[in-house]
Amino acid sequence: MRSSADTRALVFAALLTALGIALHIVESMIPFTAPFPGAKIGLANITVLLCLYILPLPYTVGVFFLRIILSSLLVGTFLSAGFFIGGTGGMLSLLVMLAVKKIPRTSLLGVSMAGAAAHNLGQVLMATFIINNTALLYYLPVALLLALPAGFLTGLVARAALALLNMDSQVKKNGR
Amino acid sequence: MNKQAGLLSKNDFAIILTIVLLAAVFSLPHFFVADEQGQLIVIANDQQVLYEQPLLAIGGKYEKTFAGNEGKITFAFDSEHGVKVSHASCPDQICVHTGYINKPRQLLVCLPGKIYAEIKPLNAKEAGLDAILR
Repeated sequence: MRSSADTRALVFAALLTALGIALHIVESMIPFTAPFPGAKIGLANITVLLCLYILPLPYTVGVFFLRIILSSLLVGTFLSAGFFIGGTGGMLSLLVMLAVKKIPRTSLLGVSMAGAAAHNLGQVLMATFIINNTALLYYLPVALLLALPAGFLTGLVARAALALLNMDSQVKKNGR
Repeated sequence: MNKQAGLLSKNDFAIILTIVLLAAVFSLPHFFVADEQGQLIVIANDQQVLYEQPLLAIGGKYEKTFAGNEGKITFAFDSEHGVKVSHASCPDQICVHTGYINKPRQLLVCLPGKIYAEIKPLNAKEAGLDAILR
């Protein structure tokens, strides 16, 4: 039988998946002219951060895959080049954030910035592989530096959301 | 939760420094690009060159359309501004929003169509890409 902790985690996972999809779609509608083609703030990263701090790992992984598959189906980019590029960036970002979170004296903001940088790194590498031209690697320095303000912003929002929920790691610990 | 005097914790600064250093390392090749006598616009599809045009020799304005993986993509050439994507049938239109490119190493990529325009140094064409690095 499911305990109330499981149910609570499940509800949060569902909510965060829906929120991630909504943020992804909203962001794809913003005509954002960046110094870098295709650059985004990465609003959906806010939900990944919340998952990392609220939910147990299996739920976080589930939310991540559900979000990228469902949002790409809704936007119409499922299995396109952009889907694989975003997916690679997202997976690398999730792995790096999991690792960085374990480093002592690292705040959510640091985790967020490392995740954003890993996301951009993964994207540029996958795009380079897809178009088979290493000239894309010349975007890497800009991509990494742009990740700092982007990760800082999403980290601030996630931290504010956690404070409002007033439940930092609560679900993870005792399901309250 | 640990008490925080400022917004960032101690190791957050180490993370920022690591990212900046990585960016610096990856930007090193930029400093080794030789001065070019001229640039060549190369439009290619998955390593196959479709069209070449010396940047300085663009006469006026004209457009050229190529078939990509997913529909057609039209490049607009302008002697004053360089080259841009004027029409693309991809959904995201990222390549259209990139605008004109006219400096060496700049890229215009249409990822769904797997077509890109690249600005290469003229001398790199004969000597191979390695010749750019001194």
